[in-house]
Amino acid sequence: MIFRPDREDLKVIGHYLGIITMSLTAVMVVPLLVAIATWEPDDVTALLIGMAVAIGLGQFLRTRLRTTRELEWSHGLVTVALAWILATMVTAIPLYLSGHFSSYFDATFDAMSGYTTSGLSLLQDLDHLSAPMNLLRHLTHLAGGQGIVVAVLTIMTSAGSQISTLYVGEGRDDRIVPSIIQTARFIWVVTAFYAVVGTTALWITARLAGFSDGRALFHAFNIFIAAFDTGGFTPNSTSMAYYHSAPMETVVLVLMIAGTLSFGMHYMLWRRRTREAALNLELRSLATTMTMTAMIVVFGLVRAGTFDSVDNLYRKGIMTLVSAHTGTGFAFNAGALYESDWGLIAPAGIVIAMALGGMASSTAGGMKAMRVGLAAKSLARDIRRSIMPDAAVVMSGYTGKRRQVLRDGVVRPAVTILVLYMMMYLGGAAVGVFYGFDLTTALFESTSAAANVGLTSGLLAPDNPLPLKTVYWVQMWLGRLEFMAAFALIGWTWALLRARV
Amino acid sequence: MLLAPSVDDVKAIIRASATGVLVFSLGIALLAPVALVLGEANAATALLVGAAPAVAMAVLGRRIPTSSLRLTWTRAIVTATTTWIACACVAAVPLYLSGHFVGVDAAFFDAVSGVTNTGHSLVADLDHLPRSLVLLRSWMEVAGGAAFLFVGQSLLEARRALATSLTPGDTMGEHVMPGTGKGLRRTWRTIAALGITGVVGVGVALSVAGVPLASLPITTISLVAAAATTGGFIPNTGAVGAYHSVVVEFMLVVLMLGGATSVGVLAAAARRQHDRIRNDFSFQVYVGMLAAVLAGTMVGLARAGTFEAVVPVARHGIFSAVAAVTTTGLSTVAPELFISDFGVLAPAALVTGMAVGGMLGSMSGGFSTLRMGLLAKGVISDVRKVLQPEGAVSRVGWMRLGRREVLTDAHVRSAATTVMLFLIGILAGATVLLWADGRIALRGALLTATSAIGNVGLDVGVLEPGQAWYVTTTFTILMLLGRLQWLGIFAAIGFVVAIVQGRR
Amino acid sequence: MTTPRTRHRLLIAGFIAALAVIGIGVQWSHDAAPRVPLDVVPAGAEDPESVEARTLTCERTLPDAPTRDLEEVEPVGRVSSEAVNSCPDAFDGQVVVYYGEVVGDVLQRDGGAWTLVNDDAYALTLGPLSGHGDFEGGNSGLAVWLPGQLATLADEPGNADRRGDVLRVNGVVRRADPEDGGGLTLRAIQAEVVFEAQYLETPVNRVQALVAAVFTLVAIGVVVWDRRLRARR
Repeated sequence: MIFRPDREDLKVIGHYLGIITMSLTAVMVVPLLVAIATWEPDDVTALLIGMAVAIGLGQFLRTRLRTTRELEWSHGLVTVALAWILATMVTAIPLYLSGHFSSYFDATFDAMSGYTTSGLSLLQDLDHLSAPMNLLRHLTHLAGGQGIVVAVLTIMTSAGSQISTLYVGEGRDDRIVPSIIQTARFIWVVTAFYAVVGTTALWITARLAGFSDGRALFHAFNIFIAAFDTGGFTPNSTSMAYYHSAPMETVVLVLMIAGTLSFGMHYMLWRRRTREAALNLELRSLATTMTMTAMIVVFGLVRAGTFDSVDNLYRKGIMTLVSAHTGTGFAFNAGALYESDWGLIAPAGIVIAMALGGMASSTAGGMKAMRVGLAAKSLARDIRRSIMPDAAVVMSGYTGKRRQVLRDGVVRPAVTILVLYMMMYLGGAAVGVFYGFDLTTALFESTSAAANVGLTSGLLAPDNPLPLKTVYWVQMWLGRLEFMAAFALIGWTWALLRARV
Repeated sequence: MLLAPSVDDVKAIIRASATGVLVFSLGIALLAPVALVLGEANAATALLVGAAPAVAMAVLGRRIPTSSLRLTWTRAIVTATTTWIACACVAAVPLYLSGHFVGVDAAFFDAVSGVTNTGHSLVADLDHLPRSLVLLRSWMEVAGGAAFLFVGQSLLEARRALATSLTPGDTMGEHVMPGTGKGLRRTWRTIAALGITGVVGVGVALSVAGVPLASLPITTISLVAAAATTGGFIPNTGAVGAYHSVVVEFMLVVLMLGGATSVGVLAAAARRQHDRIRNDFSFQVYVGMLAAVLAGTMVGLARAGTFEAVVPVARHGIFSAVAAVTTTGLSTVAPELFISDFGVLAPAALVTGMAVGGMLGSMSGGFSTLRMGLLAKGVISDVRKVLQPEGAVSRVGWMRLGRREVLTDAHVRSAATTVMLFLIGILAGATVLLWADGRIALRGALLTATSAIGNVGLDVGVLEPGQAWYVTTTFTILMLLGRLQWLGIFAAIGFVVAIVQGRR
Repeated sequence: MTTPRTRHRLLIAGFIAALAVIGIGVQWSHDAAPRVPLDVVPAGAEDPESVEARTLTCERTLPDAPTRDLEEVEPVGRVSSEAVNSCPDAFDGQVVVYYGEVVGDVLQRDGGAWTLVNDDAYALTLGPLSGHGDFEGGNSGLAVWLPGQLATLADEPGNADRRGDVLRVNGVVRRADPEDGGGLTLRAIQAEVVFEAQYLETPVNRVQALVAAVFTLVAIGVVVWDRRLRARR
């Protein structure tokens, strides 16, 4: 067969998983400090338990499973796939102990949602959640968004060649600068820059909105993370509608778009290569689809009579659309309104935007603009070929990092993954319908989960049947990994079981 | 840069189209005396008003001199498109004059529906439609279906002549026709034999079911045409269930299955090459889809509690599943029940079957089992590539009637392109419906749009005689796009654009 | 002497045992969380008939539908946020009575204040979740605009440690409030505090503290063990 995993392979994977698990303490340490500062003893002990498990387990794996074997591509994929699951299960411990989840599974759901920067939530009574726990939820966006893997790799400077396998397994497959370490560091620098600027801007607008200093900072920081990492968690239950603040929404708009741009694009903008950026296929694809879906949403809202003023259409319609397309998932009104108040066409536009997703190699989810762009170009080429006289040879090109010829070899994997996403959206919807939910809401929720968006139509609730919740859980995981790493895990496990190691 | 087509190209296309239109119009003209015999004077004159000018123009068209009769790919595609549209225009005339259509757009809709073997109808008061016009509807289906098969073969001949003009995995001309003239004739003989058996069999079954002798011929022809061409026009309201006969339904099922089987497989069957058929990839997917949709439908019906006992579930389940997968669109129950009474799983299975459709190279629609299979193979092989140790490479293949083909990136890309286009068509159609009438449920809109672009013709009560003109137009276009597999329309549009703007 | 195979089996068994211990510890801590429920807020009964009648007529407002003459419509009585959210169109422009707990922050600006007022179980009946541990789903509420003097009415909004001030609001529902960019709001005409903020007096979860201490010691132990192994090498 394909794999023949042996003990050494297990060790390699386990070793790196150990490292990643240990790094989870970084996610929990800031909430712990806040909990100590504001003296919430139960939160302190809950976080301590989480950190202890992370360190103990991680250290054990790392020490016990030391090996000389090098990390190969297949190891990398499997490690990444497992890393998300392991991180989820460990982070779920303090979340569960907060008492806001009716089961440990629900807590893992939120943790998975956080790390995959989705934003769907099974947490109950969010409006009475303590600040440290709220912060923990948002920090999972930061950790997951910047890539658990990448984060660890900047801290540890291991041998260069081993690292690239883990990075590619993430679902990001363009290296921005030649060295992986430098790429990772660049990502952090950009993040830090936006963090400072973004949080400050949000803090100012929050103060203007009526928050006190401390509360403004709390909200500013959390919203920044959720926006830039295209996550979607918010400190309160009504999401962005809580703030009623147009200035804040504007800052968030900028951050969401910044968050959906790939880091390659950030690099181009950083280096002022604006002309190159303008020719980039992904950016053009994203701009095109965003404009088209925005039009659908606006027309749909007007047709249904939901909004009739430009201001309303912008602040509710367009903002929701951008939130959906970038994969953030901030809501600007209650989810039930999509069904009761928005007609059918506007929500359809939202679903399409969610399905398409943001740019590849960013924190956004969905099919990704690069694939959509390649598929569209391929389609255009086929159309041109059917028009051209028979002897002509039709070549098509596109601009990624540089001008390239559009080959079938590039189109095919893009199209394969497009199909897989489509099947996932429809499959999840089918399960929702199976459990008695309406087709429109089931499709909405399934797409939101699989594309890591986080907008909810109200379908997802703690009292959903467990299989349905599990389906969404798996969809968030698969969507984030863009299938390949997950398939590698499945295939590898299968081979392992057969080899009876 | 577009090169403008030469005058020669245009002439060749007109000439080729004229032949097709001539055959079609003669058929319509021949229905006029039939109408007189049936005592339908107005229908007779209506038929002549439509057919006569068309015959005249076609005859003139065939006289156009051209220097080359070379059948290039572009010419063939554009010819096909123009022929279909022209024939639909011709047929629309008698339909409109019958007074049973709200507007010209509705009549044209029905005409297109007939020649593309779809089966949707905007006819008002079907039960009082002159019988000769019912025959007209059947003639449209037969002509459209036969033309589709014939065009496919012609393109295949052209392909052999110009080896580079068709990329592998592209639309018509896909299937293998072993041998030329003799093989062709044998295939047509097979199909004719099946047709005659069908007519006899269905005729007998209908008379046993109690259909009076007077209306037997027309009813038989109508149903056989509908089933064998996978069209779906019914002679009376009440669908196939009106006959309450298992035998009739069984015969129609057989005909539908035949209609959705590719010509290549039928030819191989005639030559008793059973092995080749069994191994043929497209055929395997076809059988697989049938099984899956059948299972899904029956399980769904059972769960929804639509029918009380096992036998009705099997009977209606089998018929609906076959009608969906073969893109015929006949039904044994009242159409509205699909939305209201079949639960959720059964319609979902049926829609999936409708979207995929039958085999490529048959008269059915949908994006075809071959493309579905190639896409699936492509995805699976990509997944397996992920699991290979670095450096290993494998060649994936598939069997096409005894010949082994290699799965290339081009195949996968082409299949995916068609699937995407279909999906876009479905979304566009559904959006238009929802825009027109906010009361339509999403399920009904999606089902109807899929039915249109897949040339199925399953009416669930959404498309009604009083539809807005833009709905009718959109769906007319969708049916044409589906039949001509999109690229035909693009080629035609491109051709026209090139004439207008291209440089020589 | 143990064979490598036995050692591995022991290792795996030990690993599973460790997981079990973690699981038990976590679950024990979770279940041992002390519960101190709060009083139920005395709020008026809803007017179910009127509310139901409205939600039954929930339809999309199409541009050519006739506009209602607002003065002619009777006041609705008390509504729940759930009813209003499920069919905003049915309540648009209606004067309603609404009871709920102010949560989060009171955003004072522009001559008034924006508040989020919840009327779910955590607000009116059971109180914040960590106090009682009964799961009742997510939060549900309405955005309430308190104009002028009313802005300072609620000075203790709810958070993790307390149930906030409970208000009784008399106001107009706006389905697409232009001052909120089209959002669904309740514009208060009159409001009063019917129940003052109540603090949760929950004691520290001792079991959890114990488990935390034990786990932390074990974790430190593992790290020390690792350091020793490295030093030896």
